[in-house]
Amino acid sequence: MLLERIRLRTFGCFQQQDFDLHNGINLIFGPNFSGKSTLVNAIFFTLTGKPIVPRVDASAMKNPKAYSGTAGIQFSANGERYQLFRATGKRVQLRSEKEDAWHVLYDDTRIQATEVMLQERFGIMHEQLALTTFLREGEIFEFLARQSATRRDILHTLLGIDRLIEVRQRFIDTRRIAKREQGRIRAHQNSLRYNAQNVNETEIARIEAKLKDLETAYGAQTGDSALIAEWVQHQNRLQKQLAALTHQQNETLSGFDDIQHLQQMVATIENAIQEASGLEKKREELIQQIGRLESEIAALMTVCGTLRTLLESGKQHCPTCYQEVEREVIQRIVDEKEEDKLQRSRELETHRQSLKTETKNLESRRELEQRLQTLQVRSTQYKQRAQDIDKIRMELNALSSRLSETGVQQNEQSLSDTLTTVDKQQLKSQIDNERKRLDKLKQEEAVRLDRLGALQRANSDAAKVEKTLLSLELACTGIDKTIESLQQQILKPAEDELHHWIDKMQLFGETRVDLQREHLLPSLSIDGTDRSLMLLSGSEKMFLYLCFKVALARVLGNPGFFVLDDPTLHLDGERKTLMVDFIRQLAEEHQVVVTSYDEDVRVGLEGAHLIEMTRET
Amino acid sequence: MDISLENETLNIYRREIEALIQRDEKYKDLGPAEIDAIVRAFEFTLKNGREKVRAQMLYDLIHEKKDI
Repeated sequence: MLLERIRLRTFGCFQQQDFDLHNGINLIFGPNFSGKSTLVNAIFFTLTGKPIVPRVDASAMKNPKAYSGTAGIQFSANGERYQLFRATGKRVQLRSEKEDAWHVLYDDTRIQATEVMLQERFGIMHEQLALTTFLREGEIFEFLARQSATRRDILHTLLGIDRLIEVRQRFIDTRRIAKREQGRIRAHQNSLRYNAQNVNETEIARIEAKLKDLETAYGAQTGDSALIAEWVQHQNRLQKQLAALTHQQNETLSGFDDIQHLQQMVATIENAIQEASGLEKKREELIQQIGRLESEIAALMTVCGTLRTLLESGKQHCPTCYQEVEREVIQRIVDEKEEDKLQRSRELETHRQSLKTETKNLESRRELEQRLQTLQVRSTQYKQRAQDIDKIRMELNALSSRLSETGVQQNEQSLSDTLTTVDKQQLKSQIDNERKRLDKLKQEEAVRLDRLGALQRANSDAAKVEKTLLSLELACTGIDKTIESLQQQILKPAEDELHHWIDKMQLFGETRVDLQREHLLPSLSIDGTDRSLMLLSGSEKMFLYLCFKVALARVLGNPGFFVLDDPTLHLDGERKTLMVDFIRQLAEEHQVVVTSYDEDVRVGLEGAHLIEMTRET
Repeated sequence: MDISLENETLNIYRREIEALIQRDEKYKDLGPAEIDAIVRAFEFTLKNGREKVRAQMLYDLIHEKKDI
C-alpha cells in the first residue's frame, strides 16, 4: 500500500485540507500545535476507526466547531487506486478509481463489517497496524508498562491464537456431548450385561439328556404307543408354532417380494438420507439470512421514517445537528434507501421461499428416517423369526427321526405292562415338568441371545464413542501444540530480525534477544548478562523499540509504510544522526512518514518530500 | 486472521496431530480417517467462528467422519 494523499474535512484543527504524500521519506515538519500529530492520527483513524491514542473517544477528533469530522486517505494497492474516508460519526466509504472517475465500492456505518472488509481486502488489522506500522509519542513507555497478560492478548490477536483458543473451547464443548453419549451407552451396556450373563446352554443340554432318559424309561415301561402319542402331540405343537411363525414372517415381508427386496429398500432409503444430510445446516443459514435481512429492512424503514418526518416537518434546520435541511438531498437519500429496502424485501421473499422448500425437504427426510426405522425393525424381526423357524425345524427333524426309529422298534417289541399305574403317572408327570422347564429355559435363552446381539451393538457403539473422545482429546492437544509452533515459527524469525537491526545500529555489545519469554517484550542478554529494559537509556529504549517494530513488521507484514511521530524527541545530536540513518535505511524498502519540529532532522533528511506546517495551517 | 496465516495454521495443525499420533501410544488406535475428520472439524470452526458452529455439528463430524 502506498499512501498518496491525506484528506481532512473538519478534522482536528483542519477545516478542509489535503496533503500529498510521496514514495520514500515524507517529512511533516513544523512547530508544536501546527497539526503534525493530527495528520498521523488521521491516517491511523481512517484505517482502523480508532484514535491512535488509546482511551480517546473518536468524536474528540472532529473540529470542535463542527458536527462531525472526516479523515481520508488516497492510496494505491494491488495495482489499483483507492480513497478511504471515515467520519467520526462511524460512516465509512471506500472508493476505487476506474476510467478517471471514483466509484463507491463500500458505504457502511457498521464497525464490525468495516473491519472485516478492510482486513479481507487490504489485510488491515488494528493491533497489527499499531504494533508494526505506527510509532506514536510515548508509545514505548506504555508498552514497557503493560502487563504480561495484556501483551499476551496482543500477541494472540496478531497470530490469530485467540481464534484457535475459541476453536479449542468448541472442541471442549463437543467433548462434553461425547462424554454424555458415553455415559448413556455404558448404562445400556450394564443393563444388557446383567441379563446376558445368565447362560442357560448347559442347563438346556442337561435337561434334554435327562428328558431323553425319562422318555426312554417311560417308553420301556408303558409301551411305545403312549410315548409315540406324546411325541406326535409334541410334533403337532411344533408344527403349529412353525405355521404361526411362517405366517408372521410373511406378514413382516408384506409389500416386498423377499428379504433381499426389503434390504434393497433399506439401502436405498439410507442413501437418500445420506444425500440429504446437509439440510439442517442449509436451513439454519437461511434462517440467519432472513433474520439479518429483516433487521436490515427494519433499520432502513426507521431511517426512511426519520428522514420523512424531517422533510414533512418543514423545519429549515435539523433539530439534532442544527445543520441546514437540504430537502433534495434528503429526498434522494430516502429514495435510495427505499430502493435498497425494496431490493432487500425481494431478497427476503426469495429466502423465505427457499426456506419453505428446505423445510419441506427436511420433513420428507424425517419421514424417510421413520420409514427406515420401521423397515429396519421389520428386517431384524424377519431374521429373528428365521432363526426361530430353523430351530423348530431342527427339533421337528429330530422328532421325526426318533418317531421313524421307534416305529421300527415298535413292530419288533412286545408291549410291557409290568409297572403299576402310579409309577407310570409319576414318570409322566416328571416328563411334563421337565418339558415345561425346558420350554421356559429355551425362551429365556432366545431372549438372552437377543440381548447378547444388542450388547454387541452397544459395545461397538461404545468403542466408537471412545475413539471420538480420543479424537477430541487429540484435537485439543493439537491446538496447544499448534499455538506453541506458531509462536516459535513467527517469533524466532522476529528475534533474528531484531538481532540483525540491533547489530546494524551498533546499539549494544554481544546481544541475545528473546521475544517469547515475556510475550513480545524483548528480553535482552548483553555480553552474557540479563539487562532490564527499564535500565536502558531513553535513546536506547527508543532504538530498541523501533528495531522491534521493524522486526515484527518483517515477519507479520505491514501495509508497506511506517508512520513515526517525532522519533527524535529527547535525542542528542549524535543519536539524532543515528535515527536519521535508521529512517533512511527503512525508506530503502518502505514509504516512511515522519513528523518532527527539529531543524537537525530537516537537514538530515534533506531530499525527503517536505510537508511544512505552521500554526496558521 | 490473514488468509496465508490461516493456511499455515491449518498445515501446522495437521502436522502436529500427525506427530502426536506417532509420538503418543494412547493415540495408536486413531488412523487417517480420524485425522481427516479432526482437521475438517478444525478448519470448519476456524473459518466459520464459534458463534456459527454448534458443538453437536462437530460431534457428528468427528463421530461419523462425514464430510461437511
